[in-house]
Amino acid sequence: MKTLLFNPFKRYSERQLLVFGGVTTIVGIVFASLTNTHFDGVLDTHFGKDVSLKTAVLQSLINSVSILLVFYPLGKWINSKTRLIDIFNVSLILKIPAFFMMPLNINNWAALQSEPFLESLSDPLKLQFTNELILFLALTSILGLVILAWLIILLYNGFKVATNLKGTNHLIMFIIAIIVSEIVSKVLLIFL
Amino acid sequence: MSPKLPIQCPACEDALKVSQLRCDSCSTLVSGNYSMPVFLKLAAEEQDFILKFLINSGSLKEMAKQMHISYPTIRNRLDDLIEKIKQLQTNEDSTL
Repeated sequence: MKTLLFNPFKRYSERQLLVFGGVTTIVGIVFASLTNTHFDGVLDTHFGKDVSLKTAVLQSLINSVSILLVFYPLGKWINSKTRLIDIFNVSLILKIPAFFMMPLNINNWAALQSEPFLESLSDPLKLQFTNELILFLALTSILGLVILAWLIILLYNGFKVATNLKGTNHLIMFIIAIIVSEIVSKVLLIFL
Repeated sequence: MSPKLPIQCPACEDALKVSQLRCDSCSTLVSGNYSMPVFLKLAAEEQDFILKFLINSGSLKEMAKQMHISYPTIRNRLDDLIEKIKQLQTNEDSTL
């Protein structure tokens, strides 16, 4: 179970991962559109009120392309035997934890909760902490942290298996690559 | 259960050498100071991995299927093993 959740790349073949990652990505795109959830960045999940199917598809595509653009050349540099399919599978599987955030925005609940919170940023004293807002903040912060950690563990394990990553230097490059891929995805999203 | 061939000194963890060989049929003893072949210096699991690699005609994909692990995981194990063998050979050459 631990392998399935945190390191499926160690055990399952590229074909199994591609099918599983592909199906979950399609389901994720449909649900992102239904729940108006933006996956606008490699590590990002935001709640909105109008996410079209086209936007959800493009965001998913940009996330995968950003991972490929950054991690594939780095993987090739670390180990020339690194395969594109292994990195692509990581890009597909990686977002699965973030899909667990989507139920929070059923009927735009999370988006509606965050509205007064965002509006009060210029004047925090105006903010009224209702029970619902406290529940929203607690859920998004706890779930968000757990999911971000899970996502990074998946990315690390997937990249490690794909490249036979070892040592501190490779680890530092991996951390830099996460930041660069996030920036690349944000830049690409500007053209969306 | 057949006992495992010890490859490391239990006291100082240095590589062990062969000092005595015996013929089972006539009990002749040969004494000397022989280095162990590189293959025998590997851990039992590593020797098993090499045997599986040979039996599968070097097909890592076939091995991955049999061992229920992914292709890159098998390839990484092989790469690590190649690195270890190279290191053992370098150590052997430097002691000659």
